[in-house]
Amino acid sequence: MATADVKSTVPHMDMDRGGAFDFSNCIRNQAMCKMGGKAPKLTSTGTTIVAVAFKGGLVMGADSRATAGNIIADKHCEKVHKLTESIYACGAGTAADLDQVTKMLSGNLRLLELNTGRKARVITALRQAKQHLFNYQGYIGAYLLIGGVDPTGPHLYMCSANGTTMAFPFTAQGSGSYAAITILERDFKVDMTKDEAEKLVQRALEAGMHGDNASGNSLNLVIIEPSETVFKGPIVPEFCKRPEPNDLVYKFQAGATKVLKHKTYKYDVVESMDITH
Amino acid sequence: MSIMSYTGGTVVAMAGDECVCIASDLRIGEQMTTIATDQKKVHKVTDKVYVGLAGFQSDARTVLEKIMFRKNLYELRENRNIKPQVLSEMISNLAYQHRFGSYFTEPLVAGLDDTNKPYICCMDTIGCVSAPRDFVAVGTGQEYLLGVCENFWRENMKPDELFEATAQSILSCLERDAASGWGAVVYTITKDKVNVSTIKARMD
Amino acid sequence: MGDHYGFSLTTFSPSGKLMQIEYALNAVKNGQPSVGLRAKDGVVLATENVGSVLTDDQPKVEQISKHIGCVYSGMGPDFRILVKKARKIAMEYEMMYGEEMPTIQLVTDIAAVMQEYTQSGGVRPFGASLLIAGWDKNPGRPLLFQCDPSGAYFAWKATALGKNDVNAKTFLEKRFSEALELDDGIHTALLTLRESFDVGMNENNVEVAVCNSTGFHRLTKQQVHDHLGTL
Repeated sequence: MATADVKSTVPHMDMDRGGAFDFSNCIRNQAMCKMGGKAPKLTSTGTTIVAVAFKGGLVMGADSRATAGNIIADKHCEKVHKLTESIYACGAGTAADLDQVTKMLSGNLRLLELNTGRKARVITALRQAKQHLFNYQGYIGAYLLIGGVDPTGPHLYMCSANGTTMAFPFTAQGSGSYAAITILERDFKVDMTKDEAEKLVQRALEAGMHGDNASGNSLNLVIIEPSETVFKGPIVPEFCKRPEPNDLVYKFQAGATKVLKHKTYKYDVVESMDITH
Repeated sequence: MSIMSYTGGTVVAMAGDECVCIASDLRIGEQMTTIATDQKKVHKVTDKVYVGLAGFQSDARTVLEKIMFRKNLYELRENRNIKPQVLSEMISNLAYQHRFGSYFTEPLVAGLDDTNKPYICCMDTIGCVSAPRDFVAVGTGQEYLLGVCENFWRENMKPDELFEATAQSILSCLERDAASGWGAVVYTITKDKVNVSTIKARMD
Repeated sequence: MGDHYGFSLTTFSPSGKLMQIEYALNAVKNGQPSVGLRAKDGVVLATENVGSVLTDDQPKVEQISKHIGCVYSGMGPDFRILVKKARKIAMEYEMMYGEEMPTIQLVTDIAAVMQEYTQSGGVRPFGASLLIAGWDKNPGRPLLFQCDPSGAYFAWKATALGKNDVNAKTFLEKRFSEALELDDGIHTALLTLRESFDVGMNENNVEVAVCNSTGFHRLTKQQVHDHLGTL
C-alpha cells in the first residue's frame, strides 16, 4: 500500500484535541527498517520503583534516572506521578508512554472528581490504566505501581503493559526491582509505622540504585495518609554524590572562540496584547 | 546504520543567568558523503524561543512545519507569544501522536519565558521531555557533548561566558563526531536581543 | 408578527430576529437571579437557590477548573450539560499545553458551543446564561464574563442575571467601585441580590463562591451565614 492509500484509510485525528494516534508514518518506517535502518533508541526509565503499605497509609518511591541505551538521558526525571491529591503512580518502562499515560489518568480522575464531587478511588485509576493498556496489547510500554488512600483505605496495585494487574502489600518494579525486592522480602512486616515504612522504601531504593546501572542519581518519596500527602525529594544518597566537588573551573576568556560572522537581532520588549480591558 | 545518524547533525543548548545558548553544526550528509555545509538545525519560533531538530533532516523539516503551524494557531487564538514550556508540551504531544510510526527527529527547545527565566529541554523521538536546569544535547554528537558540558557548564553564567562555554562544547564535540561538522552556529538569546555567531571550526 | 417563525427551528423572522434565541433569553430572565462582581483581589459569584423544604441541597455554583467556576440563571438541566462540556474543554487544554486554560479561552470555547446550538439541526438553544469567574495567573488578575444562549459573551466588572436583572444592574452601577476588596465585594453582591428577594435571605437560599489566586471556592453555609449577618 502506498502512503497515500494509507493516509486515506486511516481516519485523521482532530488535531487540536490531541488524543488519537497517527499511524501514517508506520509503513514508511517499516520500509526504512527493511532497507537496513535501525530504529532510534527510546528513553526508558529503566528504574527502581518501590511501594510499601503501612498501618493506615502508603509509601511510594522511585529513583530519578532515565536512560537511552547506556546514556543517562535525564538525571532528575520525575517518576512519581501525581494522579490526584491522594493517588500516585510510579512508572517503569518507556518514559514517553509513562508521561502520557499518567497525564491521561490524572486528567480523567480530576474530571471524575469535579463531576461527582467526591474523591476518586484507587481502583478507578487502576481500572482506567489497565483498560487503556490492554487495548494496546502491551505496545504501550508502561509498567505502573498505582497506590493511594481513599475512603475504603490504603491500596497498592501493580499494572503491567499488557493489562495484568495485581494487588500487593509491598512490591518493587523496574530493572532494579530484583535488588529492591530482596530488601523488602527480608524486612517487610505487616502494620509497620510510617517511619519504618519510609526507611524501608528508602533502603530498597538504594539497593536498586546500587545494583542496577539503569537506576540511580537521586530518589523521590511520597507518603500518602488519609489526612495528608507528603512529598519528599530529591534525596541524594551518599554513594550517588560526585566524589569531589568540581573546583576545577574551565573558564574561557571572552573572545576565546573565533567568530567568523556575527549578526544581532534586536527586538522591542512588548507586552502581550490584552483584550479584556 | 541507524536512521538517526543518516544525515548527521548535533544540537546543544545551555542555560545561564537570564540567557540561553543554542548551537548546531552545519553539515548535512548522506551517510558518509557530505551533501551540504550550510544546514542550520536551529530554527526561530518566536523572538525568545528557538527550537533545534537533530536526526533525520527530512523529518526535521516536516516536524518544523507542523510545529510552526500549531504555534501560529496558538498565538492567533491567544493573542500572546508562546512560552517555551508550552511549546515543548505542544511538541511533545505532537511527537507522541506519532508514537507508533514516529518522526526520526529529536526536538530541543531553548528560550526565555515571559519573566526571562531560561528554559531548555530535549525530547526523544516520541516526545519524552527531559528539562534539566543546566544543559541538553541531541543528535549524533550527544554522547560527546554530555561529557564535555558536564565540566564546562557552571551556575549563573552571563551571556558572554555562556557563549564561550557552548561554543567550546560543540567544537570539542566536532573533533570526535564524524557525522557532524563543517562549522557551527551559536545563538545567544538574552532578554532584549539574540546574537547569532558563526564560529570557526574544522572543515573536514 | 413573527409567531409562525417561533416554532421548532431557529429560523430568521422577516424582521431579522431569531425568536428561539429571544425565548431562550426569556427563560434566563425568568430564572433565579445571580450576581457576579469583580473585586480587586478576586471575583464573587452569588445566586439565589430556593428549593422546596422537602428537597435536598442542589448546588447552582460549579467549579470548572482550579481557577475557574461558574453560575447560571435559567434552566438547570441545560446548565449541567454546559458545565460538563466546560470541564472537559478546560482539562483538554491543560493536557495539550501543560498549563491551566486562560479564562477568556474557556469563555470563547463555551460561547462557541452555545452558538453551535443556535445553528444546528435537531437541537434548541441553551436556556441558560452563564456567569464565569476566573483568576488568570500572569498577570494575576480576576476576570468575570457572561455567556448568553446566542453565543454572545461580555466581560464585566459587575453584573446580574435573571429576575430583576435591570434593577440589580442599576443598583450595582451605584454601589460598585474598583477599589473593593473581596470581603466588601461579597457584601455588595449580597446587597444586590437582596434587592430582588421576596423572602428573607438565609444560608439555605443563597449560594456564594469566590475565585482568587488560591483557586475557586464555594463558601460554606456557615461562611454565608456570617456574611449575611453583617448586611
